Amino acid sequence: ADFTFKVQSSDPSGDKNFQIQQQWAERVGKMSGGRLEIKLLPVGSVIKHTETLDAIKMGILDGHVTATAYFSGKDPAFGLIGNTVGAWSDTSQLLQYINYGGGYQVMTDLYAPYGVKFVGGSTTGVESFVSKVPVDGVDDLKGLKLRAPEGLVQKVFAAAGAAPVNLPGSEVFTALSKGVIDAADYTVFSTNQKAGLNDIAPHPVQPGFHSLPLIDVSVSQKKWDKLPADLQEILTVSVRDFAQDITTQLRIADQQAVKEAQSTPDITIHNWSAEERKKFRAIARSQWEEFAKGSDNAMKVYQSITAYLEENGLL
Amino acid sequence: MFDLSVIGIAYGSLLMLGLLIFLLLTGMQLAFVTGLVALVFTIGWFGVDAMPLITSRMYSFVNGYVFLAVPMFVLMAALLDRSGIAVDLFDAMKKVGRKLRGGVAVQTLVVAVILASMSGVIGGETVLLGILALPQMLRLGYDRKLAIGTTCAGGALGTMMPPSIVLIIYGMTASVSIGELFKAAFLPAAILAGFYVAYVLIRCYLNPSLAPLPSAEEIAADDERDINYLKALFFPGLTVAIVLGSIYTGVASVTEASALGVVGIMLSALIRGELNAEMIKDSAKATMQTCGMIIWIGIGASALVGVYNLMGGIDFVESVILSLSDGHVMTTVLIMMAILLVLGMFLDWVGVALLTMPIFVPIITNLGLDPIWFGVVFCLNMQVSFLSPPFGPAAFYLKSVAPKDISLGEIFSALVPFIALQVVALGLVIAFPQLALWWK
Amino acid sequence: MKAQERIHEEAVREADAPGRTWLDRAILRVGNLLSLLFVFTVAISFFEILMRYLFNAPTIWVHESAAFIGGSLFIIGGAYALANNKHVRVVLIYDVVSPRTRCFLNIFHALGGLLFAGMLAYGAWMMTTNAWLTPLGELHPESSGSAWNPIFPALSKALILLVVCVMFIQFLLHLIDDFRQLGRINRGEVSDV
Ligand code: NA
Ligand code: NA
Repeated sequence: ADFTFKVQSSDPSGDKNFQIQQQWAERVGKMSGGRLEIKLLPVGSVIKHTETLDAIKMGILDGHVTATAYFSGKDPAFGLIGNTVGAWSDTSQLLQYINYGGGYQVMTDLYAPYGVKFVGGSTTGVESFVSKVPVDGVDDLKGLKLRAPEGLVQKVFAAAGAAPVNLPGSEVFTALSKGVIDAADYTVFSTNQKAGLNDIAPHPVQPGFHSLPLIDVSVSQKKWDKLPADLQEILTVSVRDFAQDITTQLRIADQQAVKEAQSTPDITIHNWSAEERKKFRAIARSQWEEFAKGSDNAMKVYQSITAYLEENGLL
Repeated sequence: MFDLSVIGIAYGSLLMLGLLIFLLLTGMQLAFVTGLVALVFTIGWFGVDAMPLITSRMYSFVNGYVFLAVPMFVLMAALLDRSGIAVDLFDAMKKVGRKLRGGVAVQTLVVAVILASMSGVIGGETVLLGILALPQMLRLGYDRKLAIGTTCAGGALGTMMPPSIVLIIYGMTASVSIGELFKAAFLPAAILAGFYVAYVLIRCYLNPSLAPLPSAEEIAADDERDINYLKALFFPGLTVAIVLGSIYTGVASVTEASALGVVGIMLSALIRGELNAEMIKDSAKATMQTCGMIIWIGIGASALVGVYNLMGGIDFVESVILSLSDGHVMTTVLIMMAILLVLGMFLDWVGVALLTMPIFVPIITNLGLDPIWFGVVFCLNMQVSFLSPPFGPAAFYLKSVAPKDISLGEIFSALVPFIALQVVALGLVIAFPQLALWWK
Repeated sequence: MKAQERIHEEAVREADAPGRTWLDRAILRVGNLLSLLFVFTVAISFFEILMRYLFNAPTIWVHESAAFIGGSLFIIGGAYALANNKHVRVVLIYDVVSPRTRCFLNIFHALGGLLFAGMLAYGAWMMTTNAWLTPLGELHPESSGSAWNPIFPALSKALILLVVCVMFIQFLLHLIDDFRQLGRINRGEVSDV
């Protein structure tokens, strides 16, 4: 290949997400006639997931496929755009914002000082909400002992009246089964179902309402500039297709898992009404505003996202 | 500047391995050997600008929350060592099977298993047994090799029987549940300990001169001593219950459970009237020293892994293993075992885990095998590494407290049958995965 | 004799007495004091469990603080173990050679250590700069990004820089000491058996 990009993923190599990313990497190779090769590396294989931005800046890695929110500690703007808790009920809403609704420019501006070129945005699926007790709306969150990762997610749940507990992901299963927590922010429905979480916490909320991560595909600006225009275009279009591919594949997996769960009499799937989702979004918005005060960039993100949501009648 | 990367990944791997072994044999500190090789390859392969790769891995390595369990377990062992808890336990066990051929060796193994259920690190236990049990067996005229082997192999059980640092590190690198790993390791650990006991009993039965019985006077003298069994068994029992109980019930994470264990031992020492400031200070010092040593070995290995992966090492090792095994599942596993056994001769287990697991675990899961089972297999394999020369930590630990006339060479030769038993147990768990996974 | 103090007497060969230079002795003193922080992390972890189960009020600061303190002590532990000469080695050859040869080996190790610490210091400098300054050069210490959001990452990276610099000087002083030792052996002041 004329150009080789070492790109680190934020997923482990056994994961379904990684395999879909691997297929994207192979497609880029084929579409470029072998001129551009993407070498995809699993999470942590070269550097910790929170360090990839610096690693691209310093030329250790050539790119990453990662959740933007991991760089929250560098600038709260990354935390806010990376997981605007409560903002999206559907992957297409986020993708529309990122690729057509102003998000692309915001991300490009955020990454530019790091010498990183934002190629395109993607996402996984709206995480389903794992719960042992029925939760049908914002009021049911009051006093709920729930596991949530640090940061904005925790703040929003706390503002909604829940009692967030900080536990590592590996402990969620035992903590739920022993009743240490009532509910958990974990991951997408199909994975939860496969891990047996819905069996021990049989009141999942699906589609979820709280968490939809932005997954960004970005490369070193220096290496990007060396690419001829046709390869730049191939890479950009391939990422747009990748976003469609991964969200669709994960949705199919989710749909199958939902079907399976519905046939299990012990599991009751709860779906929040549009009003409840809006109510949660309003609570979340107050926290975004709080978060946005963290930096000028974060304020720009806040203004861009709220403008988009208002325009589209989501707020 | 010269560009090392022209030699390619295959020769690069060989050069790396050669450089590692050469530097190790000069007696350079293990942590600095791996770190130095990592740095040299980073510069040679990627240039000086890639240097932060190493420091960034250092930063990531030390800040993992789960790693806090390491100092906690070391602190537990240090406190245990400075209290009379283990001595009481050993004394209370004295009456068990005294009239049995090999009774003291069996007693040593029983105490080893109980200690192993409290603590998760290698070292403290071997040293304790070396002080408590070895002199007794030697005084009774036990066969030296049998006595040494029992003490050493028994002491190493600390990281096989849950809780175990080895399983914790594996769980972190393979991202599987540590609680489940503990459940899975329990039976194989018991089987291994059972093998040791059976071996001792059979050999003593076949050749009674290996283990003379205590004299009538000694038995009478022991009978006269008033042992408070309740006290002797209560505190170890309490600590085991706290540590394992809180992990299995999910009340606390592994790190928190280890902190609870420290509190439990401190409380026990307090009730026993042994706790004082000096004891805490000494234990903290010992923790600083041991952790500095263990963690820096991990830092060096982690640095090496990072640069090797960036060089394309994952794909290379994977393709080598898969082409050697021709896709055959069992052959793949056996090749991995062979690699682990060889690395375990030269490197510390932390290094072995960090070097190999990022490569092996994905292969294992892709083959459709259970990563929990593989964790147990890995842990058993590391039991061998503790005893195998030239770098055999359990032997070093025992040597530090054994009578001066026992040489390292004698210790290593005494360990040969025990290594064989470990390999048999390893083979059993590989052949019958349900030994580890029966509860699933 | 306490068992822990006797650990590694053989495995970790004492080329010279622990704390052989003034810097080593200073590090040991500071390290001894700091080691009590391990007990402190036990205390706050215990506090967290109590708060969670007795008062149903988990804290937001214990996990991060404990990990940060632990991580800092691990880093410092490297210099501490170096000062104490407790880093493990494979002693197969090291143990059987003459004191003169061992002295040469020690010089080689110190040189390797200098190279190691020097390169680390360079990498740590770049890493720390990135953690404290934004790409535009403004001061903005990197934080953890959690709800509590302490600047532990920036502190931790700076501590790594500090410790590897200290280790560089440690190795330098060891090297000087090794040459002094070699001179004594060559002059016959120390028997070369
Ligand atoms: Na154990
Ligand atoms: Na070994």
